[in-house]
Amino acid sequence: MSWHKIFVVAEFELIQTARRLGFITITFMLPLFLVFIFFLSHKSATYARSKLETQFKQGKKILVEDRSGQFQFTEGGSFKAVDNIQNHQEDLLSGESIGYLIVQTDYLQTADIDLIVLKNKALGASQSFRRPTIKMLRQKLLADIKGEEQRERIFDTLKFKLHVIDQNGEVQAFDYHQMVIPVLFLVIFMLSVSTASTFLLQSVSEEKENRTIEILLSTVRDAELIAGKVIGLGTAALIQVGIWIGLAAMGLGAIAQRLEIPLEISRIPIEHILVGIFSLLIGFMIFAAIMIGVGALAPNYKDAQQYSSIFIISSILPVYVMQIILEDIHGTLALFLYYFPLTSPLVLVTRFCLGNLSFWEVTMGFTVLVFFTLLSIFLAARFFRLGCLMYNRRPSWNEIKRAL
Amino acid sequence: MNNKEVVIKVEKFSKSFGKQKAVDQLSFEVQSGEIFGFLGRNGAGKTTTIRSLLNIMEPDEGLLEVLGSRFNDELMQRIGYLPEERGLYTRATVMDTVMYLGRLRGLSRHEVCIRAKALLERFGLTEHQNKKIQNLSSGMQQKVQIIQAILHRPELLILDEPFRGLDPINRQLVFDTLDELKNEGVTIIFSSHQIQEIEDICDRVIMISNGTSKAYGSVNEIKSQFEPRYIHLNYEGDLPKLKYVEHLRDHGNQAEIRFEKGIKPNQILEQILAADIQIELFQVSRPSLHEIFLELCVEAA
Repeated sequence: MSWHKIFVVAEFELIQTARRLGFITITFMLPLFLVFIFFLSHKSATYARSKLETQFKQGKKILVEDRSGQFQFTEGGSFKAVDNIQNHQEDLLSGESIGYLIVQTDYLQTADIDLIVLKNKALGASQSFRRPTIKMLRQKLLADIKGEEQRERIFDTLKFKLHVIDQNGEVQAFDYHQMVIPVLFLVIFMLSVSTASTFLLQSVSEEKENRTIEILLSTVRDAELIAGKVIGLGTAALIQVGIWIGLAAMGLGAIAQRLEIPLEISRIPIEHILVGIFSLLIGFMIFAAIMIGVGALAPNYKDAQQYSSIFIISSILPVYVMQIILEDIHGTLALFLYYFPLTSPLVLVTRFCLGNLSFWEVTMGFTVLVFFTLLSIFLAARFFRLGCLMYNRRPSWNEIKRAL
Repeated sequence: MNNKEVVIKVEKFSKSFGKQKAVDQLSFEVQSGEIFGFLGRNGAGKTTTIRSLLNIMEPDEGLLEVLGSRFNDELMQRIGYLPEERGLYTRATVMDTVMYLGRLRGLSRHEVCIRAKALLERFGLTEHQNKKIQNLSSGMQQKVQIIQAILHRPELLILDEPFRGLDPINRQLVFDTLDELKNEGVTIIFSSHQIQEIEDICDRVIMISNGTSKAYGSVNEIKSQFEPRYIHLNYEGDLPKLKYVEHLRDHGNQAEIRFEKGIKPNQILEQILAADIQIELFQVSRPSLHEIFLELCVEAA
């Protein structure tokens, strides 16, 4: 093996990929686009509410006709008690009042309230009036409860502080740092597998389609070519994912703070980090090998994409059943996915970090994963040799059998 | 054969794809410093032989030696290869492609840069060096392929259909380049189904059909193996109906006659003399390489 050639292939693949307009656009524009979408949806969600608050500030009110006789209204506030809609139609039509509520006679039994607004304000009115109306009704309903703290607890009822009890009966606050690596790994693994897979698949299929492979195979060994591609395109994927994670970290930090989860990087267990890095590399190798094999065997890029989707969907299967895995981390499903090569990297990290696995189980998990990695690399090399010179056709089963 | 060093040695080489035998017991040698032609129809086994020489494919049986040994990593730097199918990164620029393939052949960045500039200049591609390959004409792409094959100054150059897509001027440019390389001592083997190209430039040739050798040697050696069967006749008068003629092309006062195997030219001449015509030219010749090719390869197939 010539490391110089591997380096030249890796450098070429990295530079060619990084220079592509598609790569640059996706790397930098996708996060910006997502932020823009998030901003828009947030603005859209709060627009009606903030508009209502502005109207309250301008002294406009919601009129309430209480037919249930349950509520006492005093002067002030955003709601004003009235007796009959007939007398206030003009207020509504002129925009002086922004809505009219009729609390029905059987409100306590049915919670029915009619809301009357101008026709052009009808869309979204239920949503925007909902929050202030609920607040007002709760206050009225709890008027008899005098204690301020009691009233507050009814509105802000529960803040769990999670603790765990160990085998010795010792109770400790749950350490959220155990969750950091599984969550981070899940995000990085899924992103890097999907992006690197696309790059690798594209690269192998393109070289096959544009016939460059023949020149390359007279210049470098297939193992050097594959290694160079995996390193070069893996680096491209990691750069892309790194930029996304860096940008997302700011957002995640804010979310953790908002959820009042105290996180300190120094408190993340070192063994979790090591297992996370190891599983990421091993998982990446498995998928890189699969993509190289699929790219070489499929007659063109389109077909290769379709075949590869089977493997990519399989790899994210644990995400869909993560709740079951977490509920029963030593259960049959968790065990099956732990040893199944395509799902193993994700489940291994999750179970290792959260599952208190025995030494024997950890060793078995790693052994099986390493074995499948080597097997997939071996198969990929064979399939690459077999398929890369088959232009516009896929090999027959007999040819595949012979190659093995 | 003289005592020149053997650069390529193929002995009883066979290769099958499934039940189909692509090459069957093929043997030949290429000597140092010669231009060796590999002639055959599409699917005759030329590309399979070349790919097997370069270890791109594994032979089923037989011995394949290049530059004195079986193909190995060290030989990759000493051989230049132009495949039959055009193989370039369509989205990369000319310079990036040449730089990449040159560095894979063991040249430094600096060396590739200097040599690439000189070759791009020679092949009229300097102004296109920063263009993407996909934006070049097929002739220009072929020239880029030729540049990548000779950039590292190989001892052995293997060209599979090198003139494909080239106009007459570029064809001449490549002819001249191959001549120069030959004069520098480079051994060149190239395959083609264009017989004229082979006849014009090759010292020795092998003709293959259905994976087996049909003729092998210098052009003159091959021609000499075939009895004269062609008569070029210039005459005045009415050409009579001739016996023993396999094919006749009569242009009024000029005729090309191919007579049957085993017939002597005299037997044709006698018939012509017996007729009331004036003979201006009666020339007997051996078949051209083109005609030999048709006879051996096409008719056999």
